[in-house]
Amino acid sequence: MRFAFNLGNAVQIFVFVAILGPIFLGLFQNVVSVFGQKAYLDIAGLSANPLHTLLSVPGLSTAVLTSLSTGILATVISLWLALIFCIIFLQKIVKSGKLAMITMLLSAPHVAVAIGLTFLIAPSGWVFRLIASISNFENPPDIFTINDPFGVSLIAGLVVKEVPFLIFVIIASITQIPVKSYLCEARALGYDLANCWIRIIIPQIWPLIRLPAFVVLAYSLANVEMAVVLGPTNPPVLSVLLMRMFLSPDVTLLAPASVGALLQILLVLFVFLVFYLLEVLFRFFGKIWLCIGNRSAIFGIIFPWTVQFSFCVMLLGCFSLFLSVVWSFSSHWRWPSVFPEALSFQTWIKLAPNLVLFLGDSILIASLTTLSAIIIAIAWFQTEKRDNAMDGKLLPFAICIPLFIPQIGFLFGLNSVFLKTGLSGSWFAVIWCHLLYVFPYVFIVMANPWRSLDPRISKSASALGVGPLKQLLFLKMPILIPSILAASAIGISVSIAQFLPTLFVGAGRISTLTTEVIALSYGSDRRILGVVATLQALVPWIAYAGAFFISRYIYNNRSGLVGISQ
Amino acid sequence: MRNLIRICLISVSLIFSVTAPLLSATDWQSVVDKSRGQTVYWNAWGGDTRTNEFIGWVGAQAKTRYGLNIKHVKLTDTAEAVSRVLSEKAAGRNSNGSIDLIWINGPNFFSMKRENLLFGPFVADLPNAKFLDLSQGSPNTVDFTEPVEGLESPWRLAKFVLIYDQARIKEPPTSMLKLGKWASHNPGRLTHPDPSNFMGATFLKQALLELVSDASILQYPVESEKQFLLETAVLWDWYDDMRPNLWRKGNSFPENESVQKQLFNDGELDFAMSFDPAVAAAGIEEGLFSKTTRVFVFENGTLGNVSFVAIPFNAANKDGAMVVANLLLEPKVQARMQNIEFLGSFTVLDLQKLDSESREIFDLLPSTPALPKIEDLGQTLLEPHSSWMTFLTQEWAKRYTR
Repeated sequence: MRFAFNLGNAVQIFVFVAILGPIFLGLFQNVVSVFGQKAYLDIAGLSANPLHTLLSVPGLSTAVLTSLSTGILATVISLWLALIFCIIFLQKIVKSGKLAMITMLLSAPHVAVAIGLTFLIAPSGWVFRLIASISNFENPPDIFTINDPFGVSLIAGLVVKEVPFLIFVIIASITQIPVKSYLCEARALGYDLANCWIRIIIPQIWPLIRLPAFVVLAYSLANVEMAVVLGPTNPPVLSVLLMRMFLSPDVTLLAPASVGALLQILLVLFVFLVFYLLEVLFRFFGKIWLCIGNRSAIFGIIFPWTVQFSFCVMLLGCFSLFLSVVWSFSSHWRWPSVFPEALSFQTWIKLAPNLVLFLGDSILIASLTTLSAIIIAIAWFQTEKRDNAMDGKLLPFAICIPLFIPQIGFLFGLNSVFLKTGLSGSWFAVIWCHLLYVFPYVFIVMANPWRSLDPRISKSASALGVGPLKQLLFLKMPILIPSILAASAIGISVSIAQFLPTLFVGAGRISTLTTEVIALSYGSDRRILGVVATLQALVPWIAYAGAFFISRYIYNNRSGLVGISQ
Repeated sequence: MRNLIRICLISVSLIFSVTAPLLSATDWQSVVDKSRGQTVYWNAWGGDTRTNEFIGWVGAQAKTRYGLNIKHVKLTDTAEAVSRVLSEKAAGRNSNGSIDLIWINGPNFFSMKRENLLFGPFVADLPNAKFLDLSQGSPNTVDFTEPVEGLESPWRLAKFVLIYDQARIKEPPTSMLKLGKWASHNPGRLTHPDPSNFMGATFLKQALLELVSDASILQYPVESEKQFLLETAVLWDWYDDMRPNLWRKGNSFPENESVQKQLFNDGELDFAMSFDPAVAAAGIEEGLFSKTTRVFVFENGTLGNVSFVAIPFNAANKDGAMVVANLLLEPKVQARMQNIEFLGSFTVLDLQKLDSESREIFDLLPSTPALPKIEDLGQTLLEPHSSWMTFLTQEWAKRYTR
């Protein structure tokens, strides 16, 4: 017992050093660079104080406000849509075509979805081309359908991408709640289906999905990829504003930008706090509301509509991705043609030599990262102590810190540290950096199945004299293969999509599909963008499809195992 | 005959006295020898496929002729490379740096020079520098008013041009003032990239050059905020008048020139902007623009500058980088670069300094209707001092970002 305790601690310490070490080093370096900045450019009107410079950036308050509003609204809407979708389709979801739609959007990187959406809804996009072909107006309308100042299109893009992720997470956690028996009891008491869920099941789901929901929240508040394509421009959201400062030729803006990165972190933490307080309030008043016990009909009316809406949202997303594919094969497709004037492989052929070169490296990095993440996660689950509240709630939250902190804020500092140690530009450094982002997802996906594994299995095995390693290899692993495969798929898709970590830490020496793709996508050729978005969506999708079919193959004549693992 | 030899000798010595090479021919040979087998990491903006292909071609040339490899590190923004070298310096990595060669100019060069992040001077050591006009004050020796001092080697010309479609607009405006007037008759059809992007800043600089009472003051640093506001008042008056007529009523701006080009291509805008005079011809060739797309410049000239390559102070493969910089100045390479079938970017070489054989290659380059002749591009206006750009973008943000 004593031994297990020590080993568990060792694993945890290792994880924290490996995952949080780089973050804190990077942040620390950032703070140092803020205060150690020498003051040049001392011309009138330019202050050398980074904080002062940051606060005097025009539009900062608007940027902060739009960051907050888009991030919070996108998260709340996504949560609501995903929950209701799961409620209505709970039993049928796995077998239907909806799953294909969900995985397709789930695996596609944010930037691919954003690019696809602009193909669809921009004033010169497909929708308006369709309208123009009927009503015959000459020029695209001069209106905000993307990049609107309030960030509506950004919210739409985030919702399209986050709803499938949340559905995925909810499906995984619902299996831990005896939904059927709750529903039977509640319905026997005269509540309709919608009320059963709202009153009984959702409050139980929330603690299980809180962490992924916060991940979505943090991403929505601080993402760059989607905001730069769909978000407001003058001023942009805070993250894009900071990126502009980091990428300004004027190196004196680096220090204020670093302060801004700290501000972005505070912003995320502040919203977390607000959400937590809301949860406390809901818990308090929810109990009173439950006790009152009225049977409101309103939810029964809203639910079907909401589901139709989430359907539309996902169809929108899938159609956007489809448009990217069409663009990649078109040779001429100018306004106002609804369909491409000619189709060809020319763009693919032209880009192939470039992309094939980087595809191998991307897959290698993604595989190595995912493999190490899975090994570390298994080590964690093997050694963790369940009864400890710290282990159950706080530690997983800590692991997700990389997902909560804006990348640009600590990567610059982290690379300085890597430079000092000679690690910058090495494969090891890049894989390590990817691990920061891959590990939390792998952990989230694997945690529930591993923790809810029937403890009697291992007790029986121990009683029969089977050691821990043998138990892991021959009992647990075969049962938990689906969770490992799902984690691999997510891990690979997360790693493939990483742009800034590869760019900063790879020092330009290590190029992946995504760095190549983003560099190309700064050009103005829609067909190239189409190729880029298609490829970016395709590679992770293959990983997902692979995971799905492998687990189906394995379970083909072991159907009894499915029940044990869930 | 003897006279001829003497003239040759004199002219050779003249050339040498002007460019004052620090390395003799044998020294250069040792640079070439050392470069064999090196891999030069060339950090260059990767948003233009034709440029990327050209860099790929240069790589193949370098491989066959010098046995060295070029790896194109595609940047989304040149400032990435600047901050990378800066952080390498901050971390004490004074040799074996990750960047060997950067495509650079203007504010990025200014930043690197000020922070002592550049290797050199090396330009005069390049044998092919003899084809350049390096006389005092020539565009190859001054980058946005900042003296180059041999720290970066030119490779292509950039000139601010506007893109339009002849089928839509018969006679494009001939000045910034007229462009503003055009917008008032055609609201919602004109915009410029966000001034935080260099192309957006260029638009403001071009307007300032036209509107300011005395353009020569722009060649010196901004003296004070007061001076700046005084000199630019006329610019802001003009801009305030024009702004409501801009695309999206001047409330939103394309992120960069590529986005703007895409909007132009989609028919959302009637003008786009570029620093590449061959942009229309190249776009037609790629099937992006309609066949009637052309470029134009203003009657009083437009801003122009030179694109350079520079070597960071801590570059791991300086020899290889110099060989590449030299290769870029080879007449045959420059001619391919100017060839519209490949890149269409104008050469930095002084054609007078080439032998007749090399000059003929340039004369025989193919042309297309959308490609302007170099004489059609009008006068080249000098880039203002960098501080004007800094102040312009800051003041613009102060006024129009809410």
